[in-house]
Amino acid sequence: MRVLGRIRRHAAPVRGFLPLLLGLALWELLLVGQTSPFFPPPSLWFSELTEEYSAGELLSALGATFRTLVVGLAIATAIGAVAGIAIGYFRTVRMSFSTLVEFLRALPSPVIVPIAMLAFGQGEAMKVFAVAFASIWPVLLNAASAAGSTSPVLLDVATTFRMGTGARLRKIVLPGTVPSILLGVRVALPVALIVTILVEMLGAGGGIGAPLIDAQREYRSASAFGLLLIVGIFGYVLNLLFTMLQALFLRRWPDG
Amino acid sequence: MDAGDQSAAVAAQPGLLLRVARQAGRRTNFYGFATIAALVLLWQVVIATGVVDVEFMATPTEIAGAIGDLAASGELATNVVHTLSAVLIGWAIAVVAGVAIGTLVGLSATARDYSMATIDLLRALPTIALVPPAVLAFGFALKMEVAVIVCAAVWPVVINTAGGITQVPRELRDVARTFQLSPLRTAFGVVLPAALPTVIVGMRLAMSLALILAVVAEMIGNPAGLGYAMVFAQQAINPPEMFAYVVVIGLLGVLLNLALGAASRLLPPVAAAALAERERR
Repeated sequence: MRVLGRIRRHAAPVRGFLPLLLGLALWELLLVGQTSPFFPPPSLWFSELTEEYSAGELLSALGATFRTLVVGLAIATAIGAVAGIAIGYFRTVRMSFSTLVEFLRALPSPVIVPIAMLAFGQGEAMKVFAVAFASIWPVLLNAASAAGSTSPVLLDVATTFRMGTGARLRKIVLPGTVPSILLGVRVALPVALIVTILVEMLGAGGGIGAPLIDAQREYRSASAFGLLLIVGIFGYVLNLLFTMLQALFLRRWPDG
Repeated sequence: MDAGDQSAAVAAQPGLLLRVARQAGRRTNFYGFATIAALVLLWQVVIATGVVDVEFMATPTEIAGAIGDLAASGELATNVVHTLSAVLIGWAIAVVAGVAIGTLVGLSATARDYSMATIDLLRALPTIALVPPAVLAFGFALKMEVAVIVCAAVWPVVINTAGGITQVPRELRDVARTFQLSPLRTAFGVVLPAALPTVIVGMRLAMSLALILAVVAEMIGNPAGLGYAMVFAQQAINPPEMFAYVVVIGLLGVLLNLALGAASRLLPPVAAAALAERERR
């Protein structure tokens, strides 16, 4: 976000971790020696977690979460881009579907999970459907808004060259929407991660959500905090990876 | 990067498509609602006649009937009140804390230097992972839901408050200095009002996050409220009741959003104009 960029330009990243480290250190100092069942000290998080799971188990759980997430996001991107461009480019489509889209996107995304479970049972299809449905809206809306604001000059050029609708969409509208679509995917990424973990926790099994819900059910709070940290780092790295991919992809992209 | 940033703002803006469509043609609402009505009718006919045999499905009339039954038994009201109070309490705490932290971070470059990385890391946390530790720390209670909501909803308020403050024109601060206003009066009388439109964007994002987190916390943690009732109906294989709760949660989201939109129109005219300007862009 521009707002964020403005702030970050002045920020020295490493110094900024100080409050977090101080907080964790304080937590550790105040509670060390006590085996608080509610707020276990950070040093216990990993010792308990490594007793329960091997690093390999945790990595393969993260791998499963990553797979569901990527497949769901890819489907959401494909459908969201096509539907978004149709809504943005064709006036009749926009007029017919904007109200429906506004309602569906206002639906809090977790409600799709029980619907998906009734419709698809507990398999991978259910997970992917839920993730795709939850993450489609930012992509769709960004694609629609970019397709709707395609430069009129470019469209005039298309008219001059007597391009058909298909060629216009493929050669002029689609390329112009790519940066916005990628941005929509970035907005969708955290939502997709939440829904992925939610389906895993609600009993679909597999992924990092399963150990999380087990820790909750078996009252292992040190493990729960440790997993929270792992999932946090996972989310942070995912976001970083996507930002890098996005920059790489858009490096040579002409400005719209 | 800037153009892309605006699209991010587009994705975060409620009602934008509707506004765009409304500008495109005055009769939008008719077509829009006709499409929805047609889809609902199609859904009713297809499921009721059994043309497409979908297991575990409910027709719109069955869903409406389930909503009526739940409302009559009082179950619906109990669940709505529970979820709504978690959302509102959590949101209010998140807004107060978020504006306070955001103001500090926005006004002081030193505070920004020493906290931005922490804020970035914490706000990237997949918030759902907060539920298990929160359940174990706070038990199965409203308190747990509120804690999860605050931890998630505070960040958009912090980011938008801080961002809004750094974007306040330098001239305004110069005026405050010329009048020798105290730092407190500068913050509350000049800088914060000027940043208000951005703060409100953050408050809206926080509200939709608060509802999502309340529902999630009830689905996997606290056995109460709309989220739990919805999952319970699904596990009991009671599609009409499950869809009834889906509809209610969706309506709650739309209503909360509308209420905030209406509230932001009560702002002082200058701030309201700036907000409208921001939303138009």
